[in-house]
Amino acid sequence: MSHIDSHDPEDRFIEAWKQWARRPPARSPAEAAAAVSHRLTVRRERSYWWALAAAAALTVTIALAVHWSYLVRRAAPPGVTISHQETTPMGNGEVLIWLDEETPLYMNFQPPENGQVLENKS
Amino acid sequence: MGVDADERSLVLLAQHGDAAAFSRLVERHWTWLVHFARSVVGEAEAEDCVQDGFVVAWTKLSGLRQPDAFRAWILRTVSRLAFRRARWSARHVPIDEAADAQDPASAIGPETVDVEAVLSVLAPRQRAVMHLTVIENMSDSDISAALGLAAASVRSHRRRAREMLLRALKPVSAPGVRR
Repeated sequence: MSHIDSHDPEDRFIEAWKQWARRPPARSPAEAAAAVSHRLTVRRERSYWWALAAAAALTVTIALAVHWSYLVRRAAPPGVTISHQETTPMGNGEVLIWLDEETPLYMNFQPPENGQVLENKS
Repeated sequence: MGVDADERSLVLLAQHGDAAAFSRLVERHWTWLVHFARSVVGEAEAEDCVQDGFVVAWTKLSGLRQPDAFRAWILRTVSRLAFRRARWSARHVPIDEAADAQDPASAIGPETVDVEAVLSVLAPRQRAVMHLTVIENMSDSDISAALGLAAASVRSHRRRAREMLLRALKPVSAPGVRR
């Protein structure tokens, strides 16, 4: 509340507003600067700890990922070599190829019977 | 809004991380910014609002391209926070406080004036424009630059604010009293 002498409500209000707004703040400029500085320090420390925590979390994540990929590699069955299993000669003109552990491919190569020659009839 | 060389060098130092220089800037601008915030958010929140403004300003200070414009820039930073606070407060007034809210017309007694009650009829931007006009005697172009409003918008906010104030103050005008 401000005490004003004028009788005109608008003048009285403007005068009262000026008096009210221009009162000195509860905190002096020096106290305010110290308070702001303190808040900035707290903020800096907090962001330092956050950065440290984020870096630690990232390091742990990377370490776990590396360890996991190592475990996966170690536990992988040696199936990659199965497809390269040797071609097995069976007999004259016969070949057995193992495409994988359970898939044999048998092929039999024979010359045409009675000396027939395949002709292109088209 | 003239700027002395000292202020310019303080801003430049603060932009390079000099906390002491920034503290000097806080000291320089604290009082008038609290006056401004009082008009926009009220007595209770004014100092917290300005303090928040300075904390935000420190983090964004490197983005200030013209050190000479610090005064307008910090005013804009504080005003944005003040508008946000005022909007939030308007939405979250406890029911008992809303019921007790004073009629602006009764805020002017024979000898006293409850400024906050009268200002409550204005929108936050209107309060800001009126404060910078009436209390800080700033020109429209300075207000426009500081609040990020077009000059025409400043004039329109002021005209509307004056109309609303007059309307709010009218019922207490006694017959024969000069207007």
